[in-house]
Amino acid sequence: MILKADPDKVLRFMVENFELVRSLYLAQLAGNVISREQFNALTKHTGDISANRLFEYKLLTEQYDDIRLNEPVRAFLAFLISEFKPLLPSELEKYRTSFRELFTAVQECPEGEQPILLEQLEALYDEVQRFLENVENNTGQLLRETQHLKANKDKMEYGERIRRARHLIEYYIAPLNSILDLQHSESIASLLGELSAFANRERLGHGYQLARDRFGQLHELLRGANERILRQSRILSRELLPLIERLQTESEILSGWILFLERPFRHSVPSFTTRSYRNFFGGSTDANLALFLEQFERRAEAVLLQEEEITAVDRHEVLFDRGLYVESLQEQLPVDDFFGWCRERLYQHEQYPSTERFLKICSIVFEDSELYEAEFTGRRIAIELEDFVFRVPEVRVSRK
Amino acid sequence: MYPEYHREITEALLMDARFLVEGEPEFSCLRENLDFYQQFFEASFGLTLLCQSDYAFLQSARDNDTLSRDICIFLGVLCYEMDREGRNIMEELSFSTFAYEDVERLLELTSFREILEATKSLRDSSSRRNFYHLLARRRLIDKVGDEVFRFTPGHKYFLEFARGVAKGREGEEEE
Repeated sequence: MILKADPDKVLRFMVENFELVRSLYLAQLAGNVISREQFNALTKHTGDISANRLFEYKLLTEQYDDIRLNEPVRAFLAFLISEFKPLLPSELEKYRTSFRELFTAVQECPEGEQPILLEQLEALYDEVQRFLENVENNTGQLLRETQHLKANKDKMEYGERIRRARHLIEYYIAPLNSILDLQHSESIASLLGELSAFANRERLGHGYQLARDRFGQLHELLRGANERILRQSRILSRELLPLIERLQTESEILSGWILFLERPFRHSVPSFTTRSYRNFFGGSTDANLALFLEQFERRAEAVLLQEEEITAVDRHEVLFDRGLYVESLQEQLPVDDFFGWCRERLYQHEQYPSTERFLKICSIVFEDSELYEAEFTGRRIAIELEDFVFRVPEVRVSRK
Repeated sequence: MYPEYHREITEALLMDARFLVEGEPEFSCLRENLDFYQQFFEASFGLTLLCQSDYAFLQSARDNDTLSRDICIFLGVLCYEMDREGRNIMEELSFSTFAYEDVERLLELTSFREILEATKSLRDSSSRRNFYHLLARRRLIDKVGDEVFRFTPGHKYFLEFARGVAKGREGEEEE
């Protein structure tokens, strides 16, 4: 009990010194207690009177050398500043015991003991209310911490982030999820369901009016509770768990890359895909095929030519006198049918007119193409030579 | 007798050696006829078809693939640098676009420069330009205009590899 001031005066004092009270709260949040040095540092600019009032108004209590905010004050400030430490799920677990005990007491309350029944129902109501508030605060705080971790505002190393993420999952989020799991028969949420069904029956069937009213209130609260729990459990399973799992996956990916980059040229790599150069069909398949077969036709003829060449023993006959043809062509330019002219010359000058010779004569124009001008008429004419029929274009050759 | 996009699927996977990704009609066709295609590629070419929920490709039997190594180095350095800047790696790789300029800046300043310089295709910005073209042909990235690109779901294959390295699933070393 605060002896030295009225409640409103205490509140006014808190309002006037709110910044100080807030920093005291945050100091306790970080370190669980406020050390004497911290306290001195925080109250350096505060007058002695105010510093003393913190104790006189029982806002602070001394614990050996350390200082703590009085528990109701701490809870009030937590609510105001809305920054807390998430409760360990085992702290929430205690509600299971109190719910169970109060529930049993209510069920077994003998007829005619109305006053105690009403008190027990009231206590149960308060307890459920506190439980729900704690759960909501907890999810809210966990969500903030997870998002904070995700955004990496503190620029933490990936290793530290993954450690924090694992810690949150293992000790807070997963257990909280099992407390709120409506499907699980052992969860607090399903115990509340049981309680709600009982209250529903009693609010109609209990013999005592006031008790019926209380059961009605409790039932209302529990019906709402179901929804509130569902909402929290949805936040957990929809937002928190995936968020934190992604964070964990991301950290794994990063540490994987770092391990890989330590020995990038010696580490194994995943087998990827390679291009296959096997072309099966294409627009030019038939043309390619024709070309391919043509080779064989020519090869057969080439053998024939070689035989003839081998029979030639007179080296003078074998040698090709290019100059002779060039001179002859120069004299007769322009020539209207070049290939025809070549054939004529071939039979005129060569002792053994052969295809090979014919092609050589034809080549004189193409070898000195800068001297001649060729004009294609677009017609083709056939030139017969040995066993071949050459279908050559009709070309008019003149001097450039 | 063959599925609708048979020719496109075969050309993309076999001849272009690229990813098929979610959103392409070929990809849906492939998934609908997954059993057939797995058998088809296995029986005809001895190749394994790897098909995940949002990407697919033909796995080559080669276990020392230069392109694969280059991609790992590129993604590894990129992820590391993005994390250093406090960016959300998976989210950005999946949903954001990347300006070449921005990526170049990260690669120019990275502390892994030595590794990049020792990698032929990542050595300097002109080599990297070719590398980006190659990535686009293999459909690991999609070009969005001249200055920006985005990763296709195919990048997840390499992220999974990195995860495996962290978990010690992947072989440590090869000689």
